[in-house]
Amino acid sequence: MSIDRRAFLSGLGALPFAARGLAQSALLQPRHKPRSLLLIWLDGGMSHLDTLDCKPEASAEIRGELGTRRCSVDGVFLSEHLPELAKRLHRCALLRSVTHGEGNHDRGSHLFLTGHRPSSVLVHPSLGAVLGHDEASMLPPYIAIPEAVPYAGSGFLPSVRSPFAVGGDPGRPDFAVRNLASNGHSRAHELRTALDALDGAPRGGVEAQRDHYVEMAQRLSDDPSARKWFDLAAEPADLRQLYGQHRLGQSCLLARRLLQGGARTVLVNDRGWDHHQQIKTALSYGFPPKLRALDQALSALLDDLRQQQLEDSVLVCVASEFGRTPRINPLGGRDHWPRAQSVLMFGAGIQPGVVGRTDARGEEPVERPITPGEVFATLTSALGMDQDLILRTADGRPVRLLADGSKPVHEVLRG
Amino acid sequence: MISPFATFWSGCAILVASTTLFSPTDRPKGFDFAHDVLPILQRSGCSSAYCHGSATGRAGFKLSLFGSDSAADYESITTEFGGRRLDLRNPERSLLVQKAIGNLAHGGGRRLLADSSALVRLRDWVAAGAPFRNDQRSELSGLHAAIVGGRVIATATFQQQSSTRDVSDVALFSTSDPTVVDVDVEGALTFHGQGQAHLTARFGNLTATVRVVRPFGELAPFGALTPLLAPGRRSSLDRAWQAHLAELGLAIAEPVTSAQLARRLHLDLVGRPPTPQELDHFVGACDGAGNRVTAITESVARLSKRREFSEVWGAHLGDWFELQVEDATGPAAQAVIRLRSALVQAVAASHSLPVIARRLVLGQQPVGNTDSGMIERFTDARDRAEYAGRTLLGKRIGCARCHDHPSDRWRQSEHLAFSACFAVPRPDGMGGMMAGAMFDADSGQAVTPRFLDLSASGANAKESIAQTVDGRRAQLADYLLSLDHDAFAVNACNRVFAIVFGRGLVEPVDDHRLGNPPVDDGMLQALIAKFHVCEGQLPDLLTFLMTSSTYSAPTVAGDDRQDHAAVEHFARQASRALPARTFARALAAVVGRESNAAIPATALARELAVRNGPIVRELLAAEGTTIDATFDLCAGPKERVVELWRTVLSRAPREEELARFLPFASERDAYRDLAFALLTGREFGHRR
Repeated sequence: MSIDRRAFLSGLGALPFAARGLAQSALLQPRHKPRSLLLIWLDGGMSHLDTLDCKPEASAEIRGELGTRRCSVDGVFLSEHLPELAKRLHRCALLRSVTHGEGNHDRGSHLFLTGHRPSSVLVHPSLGAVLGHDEASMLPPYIAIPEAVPYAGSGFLPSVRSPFAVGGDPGRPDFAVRNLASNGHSRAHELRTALDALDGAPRGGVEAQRDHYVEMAQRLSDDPSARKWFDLAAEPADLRQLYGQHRLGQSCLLARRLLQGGARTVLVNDRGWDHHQQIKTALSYGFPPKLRALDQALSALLDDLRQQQLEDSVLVCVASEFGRTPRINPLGGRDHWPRAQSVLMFGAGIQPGVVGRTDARGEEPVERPITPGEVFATLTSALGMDQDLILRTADGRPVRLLADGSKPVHEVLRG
Repeated sequence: MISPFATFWSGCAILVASTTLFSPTDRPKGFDFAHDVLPILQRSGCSSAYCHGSATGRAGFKLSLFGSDSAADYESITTEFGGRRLDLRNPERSLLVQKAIGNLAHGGGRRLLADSSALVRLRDWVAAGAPFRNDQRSELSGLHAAIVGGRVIATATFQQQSSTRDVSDVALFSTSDPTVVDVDVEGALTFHGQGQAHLTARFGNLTATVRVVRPFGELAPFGALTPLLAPGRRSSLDRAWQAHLAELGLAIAEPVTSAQLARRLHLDLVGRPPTPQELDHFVGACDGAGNRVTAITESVARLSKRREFSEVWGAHLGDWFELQVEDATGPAAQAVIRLRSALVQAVAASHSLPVIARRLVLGQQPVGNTDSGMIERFTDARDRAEYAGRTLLGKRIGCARCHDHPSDRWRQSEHLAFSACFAVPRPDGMGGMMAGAMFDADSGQAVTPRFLDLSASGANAKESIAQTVDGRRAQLADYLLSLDHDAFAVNACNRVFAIVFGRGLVEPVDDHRLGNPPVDDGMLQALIAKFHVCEGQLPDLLTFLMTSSTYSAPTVAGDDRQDHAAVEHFARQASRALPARTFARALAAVVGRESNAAIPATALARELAVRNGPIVRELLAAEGTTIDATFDLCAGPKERVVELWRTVLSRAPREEELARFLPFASERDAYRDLAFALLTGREFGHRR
């Protein structure tokens, strides 16, 4: 049965505005198996010059103290601390000319995560809140590991679109999602079910939403087959080792499991990329070194998605709110720099390749400038979403999913 | 096919908000670019954000967003691109015309029909030499909307000559509810379902509305009229409510039972259900309709003196003034915590809402003499202005920071001037000082501080001339709380109404404007009148609301059109999930023990925490709980079940519940499990 888009949307007028947003996002469900998104958010602002857009020929105060290496794509230099990713870069799309003007963490995050410039009157929903759910799945549609960042939430859509935060550190040996396992008091739960069944009040509105969450919580609590997707111990030890026994690596592995289990969006929030001081030390030392963890996690993810035959159903995007200043500051760090940054993508719907170029100092794009709105549009396009989708705020105001002028970067879209 | 006219006359009542009847007048001889040409581009979508009105324009042609800058748009059309957008000798060949009718490639496609009156006017304007203004009309001074013959007619009034003109062919039309009535670009109406809708006409920077009501009468869904009070004792709020429902053909349902009312009242006032003793007292006092009002009045008076009341309503005020701890870090978070705590103290001290607001604007804590820094929490003067607009005036002016407000009358210049009222000299963090002024981006000149003009006439736009911080704060407080425009009272009434009823008469609560009218203006006016009589005293306002028939309306939890309409017009109330804060408070009050564990705010995490986490389980396992007391002190299983239900759900168990759960009241662990089921069940978690 085909649904006339206009007729369907006009019928939504009968619903409360909050419900309209939900019903409209049902339109996002493609007819074939839906694609899922894994967003690896490097919170704080990843330095493009020390990671994916190195300038080995620039002066020391520009190129920094970390070495560079060639990679599997000619003419592209990555950090010497990303050796495994360098071998696999030909399987990724690298956008080196992403540029915007928001040098504040909150504003940059809003721009990247929602595709819209921040507004004083409206918080837009993040992509995960709009993407919807897989009806066959028993998992929450949108999950954050360990928790969401500001502006990765439901924005003006109903709060049921917010991500479920697993909490904790997946890199710890004792990691477990909070309150997931049943506490074993089956009699109390049975009594509760019986009590709710005798409750004569009609089930609609918020009470129906509550019932939905009760059912989901019950399934997760009682059904090991649903809960297993949160259980990292079910993964082979050697694979866990490949991802790295650290927060980022195990978060990526957990994300892969959850997407495999039917979640539509998983946000992996890796904190600690705001390197105003001693960036060399921050990136190359520590337990584990930041870049080594990133290298391990991304290379393992690339191989694992292929191994699990998820390359065509999971889209991975690695991004942060902005790049960092080309010149090393007196404290040995780099400050906020939104005029140039790099974004990495691979997996479903993505055509590998390198797009755009920055100048010799990594200050500005000199070729194919790309806005965060265009990165957002690229993700929505690769995920098979309606590019003309209009969402509605709680008071009925129509708001386009994509900001004005945001077109996908076709060079990195497959087919 | 049924004509729109037949549908219109057979099924609806039309109420015309405009007082000026449509009077057709002659088309003016000359042209005024701002009022004759720009609206054509606006209505055709050319100056929208998705087209040439975007920040960078489109295809090299940039217009101001929504036609807000007529001079710049005139320059763009007549001068830029080598003047090739217009052909004065052959208007038909102008790029502007050719692209608009689709004769030349145009990314936006055809926008106008070749024989449309709009295109004729566009051509005539070019033929007349494309003047900026060559007639004697003065500034636009008024706009009125009316429904005539199945379409909206917009009539503009111009100053000085008092001339009027039908601007329906260039005005923008919209509807608040297309499921009731839809309006096309020409103003033609198509009627659909029952309900109420506001049609808005926009021309220049003025807006006019007209209300459409299509009664639900034939549906008669809500039972017989059973007013809470005898006709002679109905309050002004009840009278307005009943008139509104009568107009819509929505009947009034049987009020909730006294026990349900007691639970609702206690949750709203003190954030917990009544104790069994409070329940009995209230129900006992409600033997008749008249006594119910007395019982409510007495309960509000008693409960509003309790610490719980000030904690609950202090927290509501904290939300109202956007004091969110989770949004702040470090010292800012500490300041927010202090302010929230001060608001609790202010409610406990019986400060009225205007007094609390005035102290906050003056930079004083709601109680005590330390600096509140409420508005000064924001470093940017524009953020301060918008914050004051939202929280104190109930107006969103944020759009006008970047462009003239698309759905209100605020211009960018007014936003800047209002922001300048909040700019004070202060350290810039780099060893220097901020100027304490706002500067015009084009001229570089300091902007004269000026308050927003909130009067219909524009008479109360005063300049803020005080130079001292304290002087300016005092002027701001006077202005923001002025009875002249009364925006604070309107905002406060709607906010308190929204807290009690779950939604405001105006939604969103910070978006009061002509194009977003209240569900029922009579109810809002009744509330405002009460606000002034009681001088903004919260307990008096709450008594007024809670003794109304509206407050006793039963809940409906369905999602169909009928239920939605009943909730929208307050014939019934929607069931509401207890917020995490209220749930935690209610849980602690019922069990008689407090938990240190936080209740997660997001739905699934909260459900998992309640179900599998320690929050409820550990509370019940503690020694000396109220639940254990009911087990120990009641004579037998049946008495225990009855008391447990009264304690947790504020009602006696139904027969089927008694039969089903009686076996679990004989043994303590089973009884605790039963209490767990009640405390985590659907009914306890909602305000019905």
